[in-house]
Amino acid sequence: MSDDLDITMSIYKDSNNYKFQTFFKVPSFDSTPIIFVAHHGAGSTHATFDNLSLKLSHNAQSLNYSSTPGFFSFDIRGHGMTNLLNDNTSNYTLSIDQLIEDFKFVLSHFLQSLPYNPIIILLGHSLGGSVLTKFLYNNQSINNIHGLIIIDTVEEIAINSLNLMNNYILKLPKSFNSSIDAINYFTSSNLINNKSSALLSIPSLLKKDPLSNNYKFITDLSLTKPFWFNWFINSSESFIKISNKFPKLLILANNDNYLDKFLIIGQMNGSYQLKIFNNLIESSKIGHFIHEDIPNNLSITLLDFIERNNYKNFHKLNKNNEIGNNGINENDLILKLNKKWNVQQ
Amino acid sequence: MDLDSDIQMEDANDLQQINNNTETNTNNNQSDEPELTKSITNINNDDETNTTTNSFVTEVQISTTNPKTQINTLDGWIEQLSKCEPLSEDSVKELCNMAIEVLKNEQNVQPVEVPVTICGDIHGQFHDLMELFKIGGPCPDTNYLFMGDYVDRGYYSVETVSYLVAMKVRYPKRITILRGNHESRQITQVYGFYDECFRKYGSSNVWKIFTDLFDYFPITALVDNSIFCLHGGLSPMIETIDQVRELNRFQEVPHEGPMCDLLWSDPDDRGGWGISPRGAGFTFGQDISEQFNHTNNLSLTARAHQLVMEGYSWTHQDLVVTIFSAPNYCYRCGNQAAIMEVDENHNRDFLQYDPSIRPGEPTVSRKTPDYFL
Repeated sequence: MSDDLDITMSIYKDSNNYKFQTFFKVPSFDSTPIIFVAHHGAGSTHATFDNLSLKLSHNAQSLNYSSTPGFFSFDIRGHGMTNLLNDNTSNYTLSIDQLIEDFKFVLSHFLQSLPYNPIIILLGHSLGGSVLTKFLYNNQSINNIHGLIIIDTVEEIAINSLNLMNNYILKLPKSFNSSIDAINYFTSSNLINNKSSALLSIPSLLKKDPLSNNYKFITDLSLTKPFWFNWFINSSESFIKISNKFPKLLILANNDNYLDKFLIIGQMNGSYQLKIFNNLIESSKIGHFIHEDIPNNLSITLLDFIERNNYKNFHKLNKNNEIGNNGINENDLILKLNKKWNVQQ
Repeated sequence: MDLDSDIQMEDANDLQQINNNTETNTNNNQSDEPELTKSITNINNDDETNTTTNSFVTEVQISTTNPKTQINTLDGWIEQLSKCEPLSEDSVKELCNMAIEVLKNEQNVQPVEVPVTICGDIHGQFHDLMELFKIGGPCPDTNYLFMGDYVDRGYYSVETVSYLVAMKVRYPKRITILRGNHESRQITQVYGFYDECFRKYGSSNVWKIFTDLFDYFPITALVDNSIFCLHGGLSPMIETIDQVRELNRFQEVPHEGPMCDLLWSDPDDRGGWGISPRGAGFTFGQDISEQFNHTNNLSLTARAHQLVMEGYSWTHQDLVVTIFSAPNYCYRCGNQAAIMEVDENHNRDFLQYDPSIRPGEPTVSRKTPDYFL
């Protein structure tokens, strides 16, 4: 467990002196490391992925995978520790273009900092999914990226829900007596349905007010409202138009009626993989924060996804201990099959 | 025993066959229902051991001894279903038991004769299915081959699959229903059929009955030894159609392997075999289609599985055709639907159609979440 928590924190400073707090759990590997690079949604922080990241490491080891993926995340502009490192003017320039620029900077800085050339899997939640989708759509020549996973990012649903967000923000308590109170608020209002995740994620949203000794939200979501619409518009079309050379996975909590026109067409054309947990996991309530609600199930889905698409660098070592894939080597199999069918390579 | 009572040439011959084999003294007037009933009853009651010599006769073990009643019951069910009214749970159970008796004797590669009209995904869009039969002509006057995906996503999966199964039992020689990747226990739990059954029947019993039946659906069909029909596409483990015949299809759709591929794969612009972005099956290039069609002496592979905006789409030049028969898919995609008529001379004609007018159908309203950033 102490190993799992071994996280390297660094501050990246962009050309405008905006500072990003980053967090990196290093991979363990023999040949080519695999690293998830995660982008959280609005009103969240890197810590929303903490429980998932723990489960990824744990399951990579317990399921006997050939290596353990690393996990890189950061507090995006205006959020978490990044917010506290910067002034309020720059914290709330949160246009989609700015967020894409930020991610581009953070990713390239991160890649430059590594002594090796990793396989990068992009992982975004909600707004993060939209940012990563639009980033990848415009940067399809970056060699390291080998996949895009987005969690509950559906353009039409997001845009239709924006009106309700006002009510949500109005209802939010302005302060809490303690971080435990805050955790209880989020779990009892069913925003997060897993206490162990909330214990990790919620405290990072708060700062202690020195005058009142109360805990207040670091990020004022109401100030982000002017940007909401553009955050999501065109994200579904971009997602399905990203080249099929990037394996894509969309993860939804509830039924697929959430899908909008572009995502349905893309799904029915087989341009991405869709994973829906509804009905498949008994007695679990799953909401918008799927990775917090069911981190264990989700981590297994993510490990399956990279094994399927990057078998050479990531696979189960003991091929007989698991039901399911039975260690069929997709890449080698395809080479072999193409040879058998006399395909010109 | 074929329950087709319509007077068609081949059915007349079939009836002749029954009559000869059972040595009953019936005349050849097929409208003479009581006589026919008697002859079939005789077979079932008196000649159990010998019936295996005539596969035609043993194809359907009816659950009541009176086929006349059976036909009336089926016709009653079909009439009820054609009004988009679901059957009772007991009727579904009885219907599916009858369907098992029909489907278990069909082959993995079910032979189909021309002329036939070939159809793609329906996905619970019941009113569009009725439109399909208007466009293509009523069954049994027109022969139909459906390539799977009857359930999930649309609002009337129960009525749709009940209707098609009832038609299959009623006119087993006139309609062929293949299995799609959605005719599966796992997929239907996610994409709507399970929830719909629960909503309409108050329990998962009907879902269980249907998904158990799906295991009997044939997985491919071969039209006049020339057009290979299936839901998804080719499998790298399958080089010859005979290899499909060797599969054990009576099971849940597996996560991988040849049966999975046949229901999940897609043709692709890239050559050779590729990992499918869907997470199941493979992609296959034109080179693969050329080899497969050549090896098996096929003129065409017809499949469904992918939404195509015009309702049909040629890929790999004229080697593979995709047919999609759910217009305005999910009530939001704006696509046309199509079916493919193949006549006695193998001429192909595509009939396209738009969504039917559905008075009183609930409009698409989707619950929006409270929180979404």
